[in-house]
Amino acid sequence: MSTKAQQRRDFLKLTAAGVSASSLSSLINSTDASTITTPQQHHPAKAKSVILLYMSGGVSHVDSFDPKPLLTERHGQPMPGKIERTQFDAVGNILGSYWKSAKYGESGMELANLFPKICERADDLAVVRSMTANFSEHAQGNFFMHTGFPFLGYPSAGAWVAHGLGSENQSLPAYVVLRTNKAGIPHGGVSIFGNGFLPAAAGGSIFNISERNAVANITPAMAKQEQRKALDLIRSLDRGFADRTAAEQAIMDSVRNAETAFEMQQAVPELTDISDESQATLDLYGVEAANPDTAQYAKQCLMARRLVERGVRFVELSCSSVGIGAGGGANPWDQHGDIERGHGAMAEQVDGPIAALLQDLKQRDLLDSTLVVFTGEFGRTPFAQGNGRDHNPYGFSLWLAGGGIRGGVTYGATDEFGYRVTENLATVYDLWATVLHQLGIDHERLTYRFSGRDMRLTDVHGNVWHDIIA
Amino acid sequence: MKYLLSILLAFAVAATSARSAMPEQTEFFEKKIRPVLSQHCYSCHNSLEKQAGGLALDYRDALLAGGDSGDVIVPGKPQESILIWALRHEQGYEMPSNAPQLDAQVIRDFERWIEQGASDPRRTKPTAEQLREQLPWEQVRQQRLQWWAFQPLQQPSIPAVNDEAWASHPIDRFVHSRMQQAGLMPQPPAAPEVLVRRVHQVLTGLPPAPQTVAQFTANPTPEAYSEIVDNLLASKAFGERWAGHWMDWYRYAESHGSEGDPRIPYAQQYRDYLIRALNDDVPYDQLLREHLAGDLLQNPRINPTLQINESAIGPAHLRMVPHGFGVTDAYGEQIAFTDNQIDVISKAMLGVTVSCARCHDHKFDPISQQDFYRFYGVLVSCRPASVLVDSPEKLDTNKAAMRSLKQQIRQRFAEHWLTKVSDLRGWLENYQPSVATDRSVTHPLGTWALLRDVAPEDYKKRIAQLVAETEERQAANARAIANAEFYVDLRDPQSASAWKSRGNGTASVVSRAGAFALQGTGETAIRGVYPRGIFTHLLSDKHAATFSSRDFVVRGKATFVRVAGQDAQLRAPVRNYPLIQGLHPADVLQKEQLSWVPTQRKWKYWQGDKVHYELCTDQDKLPRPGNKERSWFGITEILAGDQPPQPAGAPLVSLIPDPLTITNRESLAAAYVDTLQRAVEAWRDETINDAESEFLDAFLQAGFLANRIDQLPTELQQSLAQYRELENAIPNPTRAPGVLDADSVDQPLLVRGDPKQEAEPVPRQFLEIFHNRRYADERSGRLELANDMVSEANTLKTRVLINRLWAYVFGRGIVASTDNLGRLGQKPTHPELLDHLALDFEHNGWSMKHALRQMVTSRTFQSSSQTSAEAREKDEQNLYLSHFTPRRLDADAIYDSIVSLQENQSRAVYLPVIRNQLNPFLSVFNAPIPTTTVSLQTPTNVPAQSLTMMNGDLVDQAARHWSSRIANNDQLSTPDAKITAMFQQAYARSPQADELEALLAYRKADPADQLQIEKLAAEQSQVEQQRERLGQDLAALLVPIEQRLQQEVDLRNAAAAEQGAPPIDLQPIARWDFETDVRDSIGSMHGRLEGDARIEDGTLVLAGGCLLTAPLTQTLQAKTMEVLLELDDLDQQGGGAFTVQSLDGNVFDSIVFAEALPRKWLFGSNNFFRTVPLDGAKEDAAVKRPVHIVMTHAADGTVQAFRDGKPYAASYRKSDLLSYQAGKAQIAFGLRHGTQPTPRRMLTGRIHQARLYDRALTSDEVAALAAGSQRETVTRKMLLTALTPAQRQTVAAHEAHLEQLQQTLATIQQQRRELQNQPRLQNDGYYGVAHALLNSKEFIYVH
Repeated sequence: MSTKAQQRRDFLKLTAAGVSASSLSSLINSTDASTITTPQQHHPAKAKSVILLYMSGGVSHVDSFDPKPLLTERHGQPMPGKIERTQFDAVGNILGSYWKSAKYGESGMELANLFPKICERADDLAVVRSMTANFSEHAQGNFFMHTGFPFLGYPSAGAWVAHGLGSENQSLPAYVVLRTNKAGIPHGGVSIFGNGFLPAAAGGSIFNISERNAVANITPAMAKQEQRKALDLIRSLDRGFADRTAAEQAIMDSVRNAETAFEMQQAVPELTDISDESQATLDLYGVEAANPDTAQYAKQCLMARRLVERGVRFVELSCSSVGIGAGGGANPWDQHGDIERGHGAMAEQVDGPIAALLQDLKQRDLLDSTLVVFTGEFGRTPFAQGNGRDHNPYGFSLWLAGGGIRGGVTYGATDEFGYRVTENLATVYDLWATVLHQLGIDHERLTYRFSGRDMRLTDVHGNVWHDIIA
Repeated sequence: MKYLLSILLAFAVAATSARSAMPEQTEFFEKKIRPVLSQHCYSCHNSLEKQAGGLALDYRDALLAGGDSGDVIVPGKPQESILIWALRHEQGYEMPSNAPQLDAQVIRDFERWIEQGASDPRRTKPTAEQLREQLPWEQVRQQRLQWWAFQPLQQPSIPAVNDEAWASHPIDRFVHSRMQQAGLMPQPPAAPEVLVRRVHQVLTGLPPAPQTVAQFTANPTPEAYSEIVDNLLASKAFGERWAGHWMDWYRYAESHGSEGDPRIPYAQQYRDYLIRALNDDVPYDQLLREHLAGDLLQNPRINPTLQINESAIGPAHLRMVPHGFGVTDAYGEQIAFTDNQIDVISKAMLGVTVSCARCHDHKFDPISQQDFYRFYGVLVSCRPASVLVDSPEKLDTNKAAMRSLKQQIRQRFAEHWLTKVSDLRGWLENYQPSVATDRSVTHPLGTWALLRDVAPEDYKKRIAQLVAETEERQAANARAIANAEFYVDLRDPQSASAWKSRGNGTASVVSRAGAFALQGTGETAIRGVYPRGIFTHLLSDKHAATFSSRDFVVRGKATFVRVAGQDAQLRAPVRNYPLIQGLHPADVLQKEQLSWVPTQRKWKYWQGDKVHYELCTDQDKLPRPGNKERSWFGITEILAGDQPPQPAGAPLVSLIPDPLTITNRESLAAAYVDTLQRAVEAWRDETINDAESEFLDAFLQAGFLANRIDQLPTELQQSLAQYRELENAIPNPTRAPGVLDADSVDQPLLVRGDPKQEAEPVPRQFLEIFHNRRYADERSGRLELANDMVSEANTLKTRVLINRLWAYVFGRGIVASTDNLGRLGQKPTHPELLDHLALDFEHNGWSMKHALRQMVTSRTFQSSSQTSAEAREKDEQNLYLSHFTPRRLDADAIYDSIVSLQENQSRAVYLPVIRNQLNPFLSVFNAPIPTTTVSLQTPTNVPAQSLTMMNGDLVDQAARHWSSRIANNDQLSTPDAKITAMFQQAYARSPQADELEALLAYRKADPADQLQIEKLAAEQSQVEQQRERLGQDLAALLVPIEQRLQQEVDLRNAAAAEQGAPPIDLQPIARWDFETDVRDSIGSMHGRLEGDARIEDGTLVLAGGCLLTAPLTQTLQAKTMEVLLELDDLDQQGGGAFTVQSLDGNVFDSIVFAEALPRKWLFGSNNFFRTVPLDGAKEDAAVKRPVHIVMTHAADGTVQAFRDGKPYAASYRKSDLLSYQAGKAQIAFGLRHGTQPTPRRMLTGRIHQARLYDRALTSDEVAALAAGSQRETVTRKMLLTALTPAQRQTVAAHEAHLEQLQQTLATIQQQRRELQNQPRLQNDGYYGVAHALLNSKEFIYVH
């Protein structure tokens, strides 16, 4: 007997005479959270979960995953060719990278060593070097990268995944966004993680793991046994109410949700309590690292693994600001100035923890079923803005790992300056088409009818990157 | 199988192509098949652009070649043709994709066609041209027009019914007859208390007052009900409720979202306008007109009380678009926000999605891509602006009187000045040029300043030079203008008329030379005398103005504007983008005299894009208005090019006919007198020119022409006083968000929506299906659009509204998809009823209150919310309304119902709607995100809602207020009465007996917390007894042995005493020897090892770990901490050796190594707040041998440290003594403070012994301790060694048991503490009842 039927029977048993309550009325107004647990898969899935390492503010691809020797060679010279409109209209000369490039792994992937530990895992990565975005401003870029549209009101990729696949864990939401007190919400606000027009259950739940109250209202307002007593009383009132109206199913669902909420009060603290992790694991991630930013990102990475283990579908991580360049809480990677120090400090924050996450997932046999995506909303220009770099949406890099993606490969290319895409132009629609594909979903068939249109995460675009799929 | 199929197919194809198609088969194809293929399939399956699934269907060979899934047709065998499967949505195929299934007849046609051999005359691959012409739009549109919503409204006949209760109301007759057709029986009417709550929630979103419920249940007549309905419709709460719905249709927001989330100035005006309009029952067609063109209406709706032009607020919703931040692609941004306006207008007013047609013709509805750009043109012919919404009378306050008074003032000033002109000679002699400009060639006084000291023989030469310089300037100015990319002279009324002026200032006409402004305050009278130009403040600088140009294409290096003003803003926005940021600069004007100002600092960046120039007064600024009531600007010219012009100014030499007649200082002064006299006369006669005005103004500003009020003739003073009185009475204008009509623009169609592919401009007009005629060229077309929108030809407008009202009343629309009446929406369940109601609405003054009254007074509305098994089976979704469908309240109503239990709480409709910080309570209950039209919130059911209700602040606070009010209400004397009253308030009914009983029991259960505490107390004493018994058992075993050992020790102590040093016993309260374990050998403060700490060789080894003890058993104030320890290395920093701390680790005193100073000991406490760095000797020995460290803390707060028995640094006292409470504090070793090993707080080394004393030892005592004179005592190790193995086992078991009891005890104590901290205990239990009532579903349901 399915859980739902079981619960239903239990409820009927609870209902007074069972006569009026035997109503088989439809889900009158309810779009019950648990009704979407049946995955809408269109083909066998390679991955079960996604971890999005979101680098808000924009990582410089020419200093990391798309090194360009010509920049060093021509350092200080004017940038040739047509230059697109830039956000700050402060186009300087070509800026050589502060980071050395070398070949990494068996694949011999050429990378600049901004992220030395991630570089060591080059053979796990599929680096897409031909990403483009349509917006060179943070908020629109963040919305675009998450939802395929530049404004609020559209579901985030995580919400689409949650809607399409549901959660495997009834006590935890399917889409979780991790943050800490120091890691802010990207420009555009929390709607970046929103469900848009999809049912609310699909929206990202933000867990602030610095707080005892990781989830809004998760801390019980009363002692557990008191709450139990209250819930029992409420249930008896609800039962009576359900008897008197034709909304029994909806009310029953509501009662069940209250029970789920009750469970969540337990499940969330259990999730965020990492005292059962071994010291070796804590050390691997760097949870106790001397650098507090690294320590907090390490904790997020560890938490991401714990969430994936518990069947959460989509986990998104947030970076802390190091307060260098123009990077603030909402856009920590935004080094318009002082990129050497700023990107250096940001990389120190995430490099070890991310490498550890990949290693840990692998050693626990979770990497095959977990697709890790590393991206910002755009890259940075090859030319200088003071001693930093401006936004560059015309060509930048992201990488994927695990979840049935080939390792040690690159896809697409930018010109010799890393400015514009020259090969295999890639878009955010392609990214999500590929992610959905790995999850067993055909992006053209994951639709939701909203005021007269069948909406899609990939709008009317999107091509799966078959070249990087194992 | 597939292989076999393709062989079969090969034969079939051969057979088909062998036969030539019969003419009638060709005709069948042309009539039945080709139109369907071209309308539904070609766009995704054609041989030129797109072959979804690798398939093209636009000519025979491609069709037969099939696609990725293989062959799509098997001629002769429809059952085996994938094409048929797809049309039937079988075998996992589904075509057309994401669209409704084609008509059954069409599918039968295809089957027949394939069965008969799939004759296909399309022999050649079509050209692009042919493909486009396959099915002309006209034809597609005609077909799509057949959809019900595009049919004219028709007055249906009202069905007759046999049930009398259902016969009186037209709604009931339609509903009843449909119900009968479906074989359903209506439910009886709802109970009066259910009905009264229902109608309150529907009409006002609030629960009824208990008195209303009581009155109605006592007298539930139709008349009483009708009176309730009337009262609700007349209440303020009605407008608040329905404005909330309306705001969802127009995605009301107070900020634009995106980075920075800039506010939309004056946005709340729109909300308040809606509340007033709905309460006043303004006809819906009027509101629609106002929403599109309220600011342009001939006869606007004036609110006499507020003196507001209500109509002008209507278009505010056009401004509630999301905007990107500092956009680099301004055209893309314009397309995005205009698209949003079109999306909202078309969905909210028409219930169709015109913005679907931005890139191509609508896929399902008769809306072409042209239609999108028709709307687009109308909307981009307007610009975002703050608009003045006061009544014309208010805006024109005192204008006429001031204007005529000003004439008089001018005359009087001129007369007065003329009497004084001759004084100029003397004034000039004393004149000291103040600033560089006064000495410049161009300044009126420059000639005097430059020539006054020139020798007479040089005059001629210098005058000639000045004349030449002036002429050269004029020529340069002319050259700059001639070379400009463009130049506009706003002194020319013709040029100025192309600009748009708004507001109540004087910017609407070019003022003549000599126009002047009077000061509204201050000591001087005239602010300035101006040349020709546009000036806003000629009557008052309290007047508001916005002045904007037509569009220009950015060319040249820079742009300049000749302006003056105060607190005004000058901008050149790109593509109407209203925000300000680096790429979109603005200038604030703060200069009294006209000058050329370089503006739009990003001019070069925007080369080739469209901009306009815009000036506005302070409170009209976008995006951030100022708060200055007085603000003005003036402008004469604009120019784009490389160079700003060099104004020639008004030098004397240019104002006199023959400058060379000036030959010396005297004739120079005379020329000044003459010229000024002529200027004043010309000013008086209003014949003055620009240069003379400037000349005259210079003497006014320089102080020669009398301007101080107190120095003016009395009658002039009187006139000025009168003027000021009038001026000061001008009210500050009321503003609202809006748009201003600019040049009319026909927007080029964008091929595939791509801004880089502009096609022909599309003339502005309404949807072609309703009104296919273009709008006049000179206006934006908003007014025409407004009229077309409410015209009879529009078949959607009232159906959309009535359907929405129905949905809010009954929970489901007659058309369930309330924002889409098009092909992708649902069909109406009661089409005739919908038309009937729509027409009834139009015939009754488009009154929304009338329409709602019709609905809520129907018998249909009053049905019970219960249902029968039969009805459920026949009509699962209750489409036929045999009962009232219960539903969850929407977010606003839940919020309002909760806060209605508190006093003075404002409703959800008044909460700010800030896009990046949407209200979390409303969001969790599905309040829409303000991006697009949403008319029926989809209620979801998620745990976050339960968490919000169970644990959230809103419910908690309401429950608190409500329960205390109930508890303190003496009129409700018994718990029964109180709970009954609460029930009535929350659910509008009295509790049933079992409910009351349950709640009473629950409330009683509260002292139950008390009972629980007592129960816990009993458990605690039981455990304590057990502990005692165990302790006695242990004592029985150990005491004799210990006594024996003690005797031995005593003997040894005595022996030691004989040898000299008298042994002392300083009576520590705790002692840790770490010989074999972590126990306290005196008390019960046993330790717990954390991390990598361990006991080894009789010491506590600290290697990154620490030891935490059980809580103190006595409160500790004065104290001594003593420790004997070794360190692993001397360069470690900040580790704590011995710490007394609160259990959470936040408050502590500690023996710390090298925190403030390297290698030095420190008495550490939180944040050095109570700590002084100890400047003792650097530690050098602790790595080689154990050192003895003691810190004492005296009762007065004095701290003294000792190392190896000697004082270490000076003692100090910084703050009072802290008290560490019994049960709430503990000892930590190896950790400075905290609850677990924490980096940078750990000491590495080993501790041999530690002792804690409850007083400050003296220095002698400490010296004795260090000398080893501590009296020997029996240690645990000695005791354990003395036991037999069996005894040791018993002791271990007992101790383990004791440990367990200790833990149980701790848990019980914790529970007791928690219970005692429950807030509800202070609430006499009604808090819990309130909280439960709010959490029960009945509270958030209407049924």
